[in-house]
Amino acid sequence: MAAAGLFVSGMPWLKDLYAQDGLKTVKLGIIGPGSRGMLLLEHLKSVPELEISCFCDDYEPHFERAGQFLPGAKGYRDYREMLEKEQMDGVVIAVPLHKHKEITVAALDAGLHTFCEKAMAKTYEDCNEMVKARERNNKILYIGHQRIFNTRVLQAMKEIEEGTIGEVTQMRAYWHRNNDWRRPLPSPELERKINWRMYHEYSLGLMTELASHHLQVTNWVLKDKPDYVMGSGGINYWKDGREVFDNVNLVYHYPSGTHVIYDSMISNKKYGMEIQAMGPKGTIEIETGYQFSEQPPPAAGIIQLINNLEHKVFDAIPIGGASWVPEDPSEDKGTYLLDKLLKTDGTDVEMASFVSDVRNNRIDPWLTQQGFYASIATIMGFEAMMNHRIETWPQGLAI
Amino acid sequence: METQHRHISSMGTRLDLVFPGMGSELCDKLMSQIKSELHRLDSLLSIHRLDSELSHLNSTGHAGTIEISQELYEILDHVKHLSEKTEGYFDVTMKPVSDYLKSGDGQKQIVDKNTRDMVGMEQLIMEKEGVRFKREGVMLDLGGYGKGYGVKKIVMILQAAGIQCALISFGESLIYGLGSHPYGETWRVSVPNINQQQPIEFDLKDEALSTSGNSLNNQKKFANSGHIVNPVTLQMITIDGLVSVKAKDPVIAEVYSTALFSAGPDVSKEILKSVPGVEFRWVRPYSNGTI
Repeated sequence: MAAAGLFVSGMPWLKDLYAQDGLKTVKLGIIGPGSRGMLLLEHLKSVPELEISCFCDDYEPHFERAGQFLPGAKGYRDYREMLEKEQMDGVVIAVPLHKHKEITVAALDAGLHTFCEKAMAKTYEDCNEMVKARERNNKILYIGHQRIFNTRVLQAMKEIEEGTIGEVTQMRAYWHRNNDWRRPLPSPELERKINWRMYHEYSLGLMTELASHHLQVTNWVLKDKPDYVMGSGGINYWKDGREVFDNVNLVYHYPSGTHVIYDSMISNKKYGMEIQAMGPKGTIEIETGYQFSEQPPPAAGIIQLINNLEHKVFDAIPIGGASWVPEDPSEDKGTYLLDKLLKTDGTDVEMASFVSDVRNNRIDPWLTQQGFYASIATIMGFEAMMNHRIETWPQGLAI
Repeated sequence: METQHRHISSMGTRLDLVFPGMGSELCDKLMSQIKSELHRLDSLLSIHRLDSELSHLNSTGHAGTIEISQELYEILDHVKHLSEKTEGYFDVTMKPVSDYLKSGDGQKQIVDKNTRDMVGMEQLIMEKEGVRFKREGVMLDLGGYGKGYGVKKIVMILQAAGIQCALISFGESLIYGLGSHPYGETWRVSVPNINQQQPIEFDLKDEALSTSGNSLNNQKKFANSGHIVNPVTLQMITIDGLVSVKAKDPVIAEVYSTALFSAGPDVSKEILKSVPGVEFRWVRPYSNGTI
């Protein structure tokens, strides 16, 4: 988290995050301490002056596990009862996608600052209702796109802002895995409850669960939202009764004329995941934090000079000549944006930031906007694939 | 000794900076300032950015007097002055000639009248309220000035931060030695020679070295066609040669190396009579080509 402090000055939502003196204790509850919810709790555990006073889950194993993790916290099986009975500052929601809207709107209407996992919801209307609930209650609404808080992504954004790669003229993003994307079942009747990601009733599959993250970043980089998208998806490998596509392939168009080319699959992981921002001066690979210049590495004379300096040798530097001009193809092997590997994806900073904002009642509509626009773009991609048509940005949806 | 080295892309080439004895935190801070400054200069002087101030002038300067920033005005004023001092061998209006000669099959030797009428520093009129061009089609390209100006700004940033020792290489053709090498009295730079001949060495101490010409580096790209236009003959210089100019001011080094390469050895001596403190060497002899 210390590294993130470097960027605090330019990132308003991180201000005061690391202040330690005289903190007011923040009281939160969590709804849905499943696998993702537990990870959020792990991160919240290290946030100072925070009390998780209650939790809610309607799945017994998760309820019991949360109770053990949060001794002293009151457990509920119905979120409505929890919202009604508990006095708290905010709530963290990590339930399956189809319940996001209902619970988030209820939490905001109960006067609570709210963190809801991504994506926002399954439909344009539900996303919009969540935004309206935030606005009418004037509360914080975070959507769990943790790349906004990831040091490596922030560094990439800084480089892009400073024009290191020039104007971004194309983005490509992909997320590839090689597994069935299923969770083990204690018993067969729990299939839809545990593997809700497989069914349209609960999820839009790879779009809401993975692509949402990348579309948040592409919107952020391009400082806009896509005006239309075309694409195609299908089930070509995991033919196991699932309804959601196991491969999705999309082209998003932005008003500037720039495109985002996105694909995701779960039957091959050679290429892993990446978000590539390309411009006339270079390329930045945001997920891995690699930067490639259209120019090759430094001149041999410079390398010799550095070597000499290390060995305390004074010698002529063989470097002067007519202007070096780029040759193609570039042989640049790239350089890391950060000089150390990060073990976090930004979720830890995101949770600390949420607590800090709740403490200070700092409401940043930009953060909600990022979640909203990414979620709308996600749904657009799904609709384009399902209906075999070009899907345009829904009229009137804006913050 | 801890040494920091950074290289970035700027002004169509690469910029290398070497800072002996510097920690990475300070280096990052300085690089951030340097990048911001170069980004600013790009938005002022680049002809590859449509939104730069110079691009705006190039596209509208023929229509009437254009009010420009004081910085760009002072640069253009300096450019005109340097053009006179170099007897016209430094001329920032040559782009239409270069474009014409490279067009088609790239074998054109002589420019047409229309192109000829677009060039010459007299096309740029400096007025109290701003600047204007004499006619449509005039295009200023400050490439032969910008790198020197950029290095000058970088040196100012470093000096303001109290840095006493650094080597700056802009595209390898412009080198600036701030202070001296930690284990020597100067920064010693050697310009490669041809035919296994000894490289020619220059000692830099708060000085710049600029080299212009057709080099081995560029042979493949510019084979038989050259890439520098002689402003006097309006032809591409196809001769294989290099000239290096050392000066305190990187702008002067940059401008004079370009001008002297066009002027050739004999005229160069005349031109430099009025410029004290500038050292120049023909690194490679002229041969097999035209100036």
